[in-house]
Amino acid sequence: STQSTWDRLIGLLRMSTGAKVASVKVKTSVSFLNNNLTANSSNLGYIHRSEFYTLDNKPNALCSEKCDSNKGAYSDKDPLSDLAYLKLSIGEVLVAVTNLGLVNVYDESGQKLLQSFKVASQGDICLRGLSSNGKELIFIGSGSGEIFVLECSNKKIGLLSKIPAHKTAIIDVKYSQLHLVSVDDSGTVVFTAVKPDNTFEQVVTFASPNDVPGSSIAVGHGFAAVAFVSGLIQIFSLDKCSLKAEICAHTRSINALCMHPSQPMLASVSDDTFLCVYALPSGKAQIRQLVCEHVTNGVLCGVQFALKDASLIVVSVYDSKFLFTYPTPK
Amino acid sequence: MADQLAMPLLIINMGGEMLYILEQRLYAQNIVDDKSTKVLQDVIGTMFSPKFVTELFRPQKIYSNSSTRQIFDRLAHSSIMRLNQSSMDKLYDLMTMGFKYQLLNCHHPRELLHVTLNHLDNLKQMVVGSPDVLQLVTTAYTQVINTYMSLKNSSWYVLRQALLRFFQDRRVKVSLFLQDGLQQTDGCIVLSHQGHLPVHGQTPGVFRYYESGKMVNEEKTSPANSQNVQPPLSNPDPLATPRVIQLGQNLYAKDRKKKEDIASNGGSVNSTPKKPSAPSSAVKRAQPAAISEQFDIDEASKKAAKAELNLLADLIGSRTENVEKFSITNLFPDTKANSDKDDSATVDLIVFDAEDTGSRLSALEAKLGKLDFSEAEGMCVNAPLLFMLI
Repeated sequence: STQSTWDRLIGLLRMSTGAKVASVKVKTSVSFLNNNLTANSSNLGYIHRSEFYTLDNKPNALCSEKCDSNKGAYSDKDPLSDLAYLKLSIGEVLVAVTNLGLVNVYDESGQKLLQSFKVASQGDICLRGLSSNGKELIFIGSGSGEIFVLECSNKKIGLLSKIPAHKTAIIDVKYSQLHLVSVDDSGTVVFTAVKPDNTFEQVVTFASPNDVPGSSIAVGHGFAAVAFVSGLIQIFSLDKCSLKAEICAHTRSINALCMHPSQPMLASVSDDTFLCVYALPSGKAQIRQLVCEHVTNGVLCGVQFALKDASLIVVSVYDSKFLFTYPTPK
Repeated sequence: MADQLAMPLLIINMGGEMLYILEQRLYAQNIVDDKSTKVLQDVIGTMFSPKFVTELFRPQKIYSNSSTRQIFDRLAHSSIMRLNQSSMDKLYDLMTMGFKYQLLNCHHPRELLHVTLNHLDNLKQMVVGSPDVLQLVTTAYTQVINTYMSLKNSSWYVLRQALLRFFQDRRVKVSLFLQDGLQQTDGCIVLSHQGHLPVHGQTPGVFRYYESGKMVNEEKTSPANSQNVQPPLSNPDPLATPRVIQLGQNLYAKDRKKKEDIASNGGSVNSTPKKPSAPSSAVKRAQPAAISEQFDIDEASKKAAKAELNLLADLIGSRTENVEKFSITNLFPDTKANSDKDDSATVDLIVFDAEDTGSRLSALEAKLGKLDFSEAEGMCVNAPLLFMLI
């Protein structure tokens, strides 16, 4: 097929030059926000100030020198605080949230607004952390420490409930295996069970001894990985909601994590300019570091496994009009 | 919201950079000492006037780039000195890149407090001969301590994010930064994983395994980002002296010190410097990187800036209403536009070289021979003052 020919060509080119880190130029620079790069099977998205941009998640876009990125259909002046592709019953959507409590649900391309909801608040509510249960629920963290649960269908979107999970501002929230995992700006990690009737019960809380803010969460393969601004990653088991391992990963704040969709592999990027990739524990095998690579002179703020087979890692960099790519290790 | 405390950090640190640059440029252009001192004292006195400081520390959203520029325009012209538009543009770009460099190189956002206090310490040194102005700076110093000392870690990260948003897409090459390896040729500030770890940081490469809440195994490896890493600073107290964080010190002072060392060692000021000097006659349009065209101030932004204008700017008066003023037609001599019309995405280069005596002489010749008395409103030239510049 054309796509596999492309992939082979790109792989050959890379091998011939020996260079692993490549870059592709996009239209606008990336803003400094945690987890400022999102992806689904067709698109990538990132935030630039009060705008967001999407681009194709395909070899002819990511493996060329320059690719077209399209400005999303968000036109308010309120700066965007988070952006994520989510899978819902109505299909794959792109959700954008703001500091003032606006939740906009767009189609995959980001060009058509499907639903919009405003969380009632006095002043800034600082929505951060986006996840879904794959059906009708969207989970959003907030500056008040509550997780907002929105129910989204073709016809409407509305607030189902608020989970009083944290005492301080939530930084990220992820859903997996009937659990919500959330971390706040004091470093406290909370596991909340999601029951079949869409009610919620707090399972366990891990307090941070040092008041070190959390920065990102990635879930998958039975694990929840939580990153902190100290450069530490904690790996929790989702089955037992218990701490399994810690990785001293970076020398500065970790700004984004991403779990490989099909393999127990975790990527992290940091202010220290490095991309790290780890093979997570599997059976008796312990954690192995697969990649530790300086990407570029810049604050790395987003990472995603890209392309249909997740064979390419894409990294976004604050203040840069380039996205950097690296081949996924085998 | 913590991001509503970003303005004092922005103004004080950028203001500090402005004073460092002005001090160095006034010296390089042979402005007589008492005039230079007066300029610095007037600008510092205005910047730390009680009304201005009160308004500055009021919790508020961070100003736009154009409004912040207007504040510094007024500050720079609150003294007996007048700068033309080009000089002010370059001065602002240098201030921007200086603070952006410091912001990006903090290993932990709390180090911004150290950076701010370093600036204030140096400003105090500049006005040590003027007790009134010194008192104003000391009062502002106290206010910085009271406002920021007890902020939580999370608030510092929010502040850092707000400041980084302000500096997004601001990229100008500075010859001094390029020479010192602080900046790449594409205008990016050089960052490193090396050096001391942030508070609670740990050297990368350690894996710990837990069962039932207890550590059962620990493994150590040596990944690439664990090289040349030191433990967290043991006493990161910003009030301790000497301060352990050096960001915020005067990057431009060493050029002057180098010249003074050469002079005091009996060397000629025309001797070849050890490092290759930046090319003269150069505002060079270089390789594509980013993005100054995004910050060409369009009409809409100008109107917005005027509308927003700008309680802080309104509070900036002049300390020199009835005093004769002097103008500097070119604060950064021997830089001229060398635009390449085919190169659409470019990064400006500001040449900053205090050791170039040729440029100082030509600057003086320019003042004597090429004065344009029809320049923009606010420019004021007085002949006797010019003779004092020779």
